[in-house]
Amino acid sequence: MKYLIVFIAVITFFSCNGSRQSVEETQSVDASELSSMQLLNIDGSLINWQEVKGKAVFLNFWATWCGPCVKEMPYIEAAARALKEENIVFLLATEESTEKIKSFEQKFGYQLDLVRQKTSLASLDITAIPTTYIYNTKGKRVFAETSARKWDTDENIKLLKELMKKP
Amino acid sequence: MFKVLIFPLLIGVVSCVSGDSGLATTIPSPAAINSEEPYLLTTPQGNTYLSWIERNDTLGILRYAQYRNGQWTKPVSITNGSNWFINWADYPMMAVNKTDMIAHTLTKSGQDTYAYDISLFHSEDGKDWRSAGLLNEDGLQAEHGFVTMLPYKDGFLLSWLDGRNTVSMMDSILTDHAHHKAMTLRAAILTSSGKKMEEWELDNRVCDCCQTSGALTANGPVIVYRNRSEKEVRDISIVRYESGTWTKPSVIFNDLWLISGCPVNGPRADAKENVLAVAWFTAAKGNASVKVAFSKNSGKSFTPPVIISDASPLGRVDVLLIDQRSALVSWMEGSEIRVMKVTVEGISGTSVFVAQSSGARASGFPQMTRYKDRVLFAWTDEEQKKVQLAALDMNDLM
Repeated sequence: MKYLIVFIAVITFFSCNGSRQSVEETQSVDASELSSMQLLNIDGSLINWQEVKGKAVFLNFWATWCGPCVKEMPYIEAAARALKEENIVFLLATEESTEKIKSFEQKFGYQLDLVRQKTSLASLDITAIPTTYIYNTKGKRVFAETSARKWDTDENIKLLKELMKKP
Repeated sequence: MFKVLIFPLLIGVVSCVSGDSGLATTIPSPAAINSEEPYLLTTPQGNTYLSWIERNDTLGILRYAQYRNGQWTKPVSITNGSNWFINWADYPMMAVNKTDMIAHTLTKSGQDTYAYDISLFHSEDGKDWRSAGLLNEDGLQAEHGFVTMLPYKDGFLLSWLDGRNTVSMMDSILTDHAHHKAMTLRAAILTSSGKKMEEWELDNRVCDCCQTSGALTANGPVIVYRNRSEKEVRDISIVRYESGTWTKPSVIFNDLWLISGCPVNGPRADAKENVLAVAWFTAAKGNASVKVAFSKNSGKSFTPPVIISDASPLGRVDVLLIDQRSALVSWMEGSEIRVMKVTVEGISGTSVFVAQSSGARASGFPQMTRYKDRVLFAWTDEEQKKVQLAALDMNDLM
């Protein structure tokens, strides 16, 4: 009995620290995260997740003032081009205004879907950008990373293909 | 016997409970609707000020008020402009040295997103303000901001992030040569009227999106900031101004946060005599945490940092030394503003809830300062689009 109670106390104490999310995790996150995320197209319409159901989603969080984010874009664009026949959607979300997104789009002309996020970065436990979340075809998050990557390398294209299929 | 055995269990449960009893009281804000980007400061003489930006359509107005006898004075307009760079993380500041006051705004210098200067303003009486020119005199359409202002001797010491080496950053971004053109940290000493006397480059490669901070120790001023290694490790460094020269940058603690990105989470510092407290956020190895470390020799060396945050910190820290034995650290834990007392020996107190804010970036960086035996907090209420304030009695923080 004595050991049981001490054990419970110890477990209770350590549970106070909560579970800190790794920024380079690979374990799956529940599918409701993506479906409850509110993203707006440039025209102000909400992205309907039903329309991308069954597809993997590459979701990159960025901002116009974030140099590394902007630096990463050509690599994302190239990766999207390389995977255009695959079952994956590329979205790049920012908390900034639609006007800023439009202005950025006109200036740089990337062939990417730049969208505005209504769901805050904080509520997604994102503490820095660029952060990329990848959801598999069932809508489960299977990848999260905070840092820019050269997404179009052979190694990363292979990684993306593997992640799409990851259960 | 059972009561004895149940004791550890109770300790375990109680240790989970933070101070959420709502000890903080809201105090009326002198800022109007459509206000944001608050900055709080208290002079060594104990005078407390709040500055903020108000927006009227495309016009930005920088205002301030003083807290006297538990009330804010009538707001004074420092300056206004329609060509400002207004950013949730890069807020205007003011500093006071005796009767002289200076403040700054960020003014667009070109069409490029990254092109803005640091415009200075000076007042001898706090009422009439006039331009004191640009802090950065490079004449380049580049990014200049994340200012730190300290009263120093008869004038002021300022530091800032200076993007003069990044003017072709967008080109270098596209050609992947950005590592040759990093953000720099600079500092200058100004006269009491804001005229620049001396200027230095303190570090030629720093994180380009984090605030700088500084403090006046018994041995001279120090500047703390987020560094940036060639391998994209971004930890907190310090430079010290001693006997007329700046020390080389040294890392306060090797968190080893490897991130090729924008943390937008700078450190804050406060000093009393030789005791210096520095608080910061890191997410090294995927573990988000807020830390504080102390120095008892004006920043030459530091104690191992203490982690004060809980499971979901966003950072956005502030730090305030109560005396030479303990400090208060405020930070965002999820959408909550929290504060904790920590002794220089590293013994942390109870995490106390200050106010509900928002994790959205528009809520900005909560500010903290001391007013007599109280601690004042300011933040931007994203929903009401207004600067809000709260106060805590120092005695309520244990």
